[in-house]
Amino acid sequence: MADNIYLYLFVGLVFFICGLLTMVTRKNAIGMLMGVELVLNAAGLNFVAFQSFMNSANKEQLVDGYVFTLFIIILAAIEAAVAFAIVIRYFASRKTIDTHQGIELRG
Amino acid sequence: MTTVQSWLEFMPFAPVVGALFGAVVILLLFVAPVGGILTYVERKLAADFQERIGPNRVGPFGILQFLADAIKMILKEDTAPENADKFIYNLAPILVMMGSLGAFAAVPFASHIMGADLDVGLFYILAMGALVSLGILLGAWSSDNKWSLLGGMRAAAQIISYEIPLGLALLSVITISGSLSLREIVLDQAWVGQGSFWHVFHNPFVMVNFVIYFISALAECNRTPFDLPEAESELVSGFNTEFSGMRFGLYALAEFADIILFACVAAAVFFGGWQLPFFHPEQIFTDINLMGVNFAPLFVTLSTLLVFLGKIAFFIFVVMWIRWTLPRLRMDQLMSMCWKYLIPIAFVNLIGSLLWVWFFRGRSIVELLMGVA
Amino acid sequence: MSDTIVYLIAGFACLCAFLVALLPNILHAVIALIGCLFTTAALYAVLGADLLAALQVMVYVGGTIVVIIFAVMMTPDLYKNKFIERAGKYFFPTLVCSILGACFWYIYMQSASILPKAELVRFAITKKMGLALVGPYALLFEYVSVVLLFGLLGAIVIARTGERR
Repeated sequence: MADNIYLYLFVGLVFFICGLLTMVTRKNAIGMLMGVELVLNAAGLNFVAFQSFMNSANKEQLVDGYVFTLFIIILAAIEAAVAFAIVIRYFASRKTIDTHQGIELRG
Repeated sequence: MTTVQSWLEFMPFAPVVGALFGAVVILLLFVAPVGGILTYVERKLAADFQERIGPNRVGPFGILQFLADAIKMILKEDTAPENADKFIYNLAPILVMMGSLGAFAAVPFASHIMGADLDVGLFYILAMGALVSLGILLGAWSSDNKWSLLGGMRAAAQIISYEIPLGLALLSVITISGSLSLREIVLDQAWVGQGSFWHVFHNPFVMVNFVIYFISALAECNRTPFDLPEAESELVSGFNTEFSGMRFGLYALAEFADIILFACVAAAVFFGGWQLPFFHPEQIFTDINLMGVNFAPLFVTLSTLLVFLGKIAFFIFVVMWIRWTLPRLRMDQLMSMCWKYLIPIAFVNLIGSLLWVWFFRGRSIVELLMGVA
Repeated sequence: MSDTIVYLIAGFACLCAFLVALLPNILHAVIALIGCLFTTAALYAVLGADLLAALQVMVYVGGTIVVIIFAVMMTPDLYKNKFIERAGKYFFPTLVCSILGACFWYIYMQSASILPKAELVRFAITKKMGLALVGPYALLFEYVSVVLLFGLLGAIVIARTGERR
């Protein structure tokens, strides 16, 4: 069944759902951002899976899906860097990264 | 050459568990003894550079010293700090080992000895180097020790900073040979009588890039002059303070495996791998028949393996020579050297190499001197 | 034999994804995330995108995870002990996410059913991707480099906590 696309789509779906769950249930700011990373990974996995199987089905050799995934990897890295810079700033003013404490606009 | 088939099926006749077990045994049979012997070699070389004798009690000329060290390390008590995060404390040396050992799969040892001829061999090796920094960072944090944490953060910052000039230096060779596969890069340096020679002599920009690669590899392996994270006189042994016995043995073995790995990559990428200039083993050993079996391919493989091992032995000697000669750099000097000096120089040389390849249509200095069209 | 490996990798990926969401200690959750990223790289390699697998490990595991770990180390919570957190309310998020997952799975079944069952053919993608990056996607490539530059500078500016010398 590894020749079937549904396995990779299922893994991508599990990543997406767990990423969403992480974003919703964690109150640690860094935990939330890990959920974002998981969701982006799920998208990348979908891209690569569909591209590979469409290449096999149509007997072509296109790389567009792979290029999209490459950009997802790059942009996720830089988005993580900026997000964690913001978290560090948040920590500097409140001495905690508990997002439930961030209910006032100050600092 | 299909790559994923190599990744998944390089032992096609063995079941999954057997394949993994075989890989583990081969790596342990190569890396552990060689790493142990390297500790002995390092101590003897240090003694020679410092005009003393070194280990000479255990076995003739102290050759069995590494066995004694290994047995001592295995028999030590397995302690852990009280507040250490047990899971990560146990996982960190494993991650470092994974990174160091896993990269050996893509190294071309001889003309027919190679773990897996990946299409992206060089990237795979760099990716495994990233794992090492992760393991060091996690180990330093889980030790629940301020000095370990400082050492670990410095080590991680150093490793990820020096990956950039390392990659740039390798990139100049990748653009010349046109492939990321280490086997293709080695074969690109074959002396075919028309002047194609080792990449380090291809153009002067690659020569400078080789020096930058060597310096970056020293920094990647946390070797002097870049060993501030684990310096004995600075941070009480840095990030491996709280690791004793076999855990520390894993860190030390991983460091030696890293040195061997970068020497292998230098030999394969810059210095022609398993080839020597006027030595064509497949023409010398054509037909050696013994009891009806042709042993010539065995001789070819063995001779190329010896050539490769000779080259990495030379590089390891230079690494140890540098260790016992130069003082260590301070952390800010180290980082400024990477970002302010090595990266601009590597970039300029990369562009210079590209311009050379474009202007002279890929011909090297040797080819130009021989007048190849 | 290769089928077994792919199933094992996929199972481990799903397990790690659940652990990321459920582990209370944030550092353990980061380790689970490393597991997820590694298995994603392995699945990319199985699907034939070997370059993407190596890049995933290099950039994601070697870069993003190190950023996360640095952030975790530099922001220890002074009011609580060592990253343990309890959000407490898991029932409704899990329910909603499961329903969402079922809807997504239905959509996937519809879109993937147009693909005829075929043997997965792998080819060397490095050269083609390089040509695509300087060909049709050249503008996007340059654009992403500029975004990276701005992101780096912005992160440095934001993370400075106001120490003026």
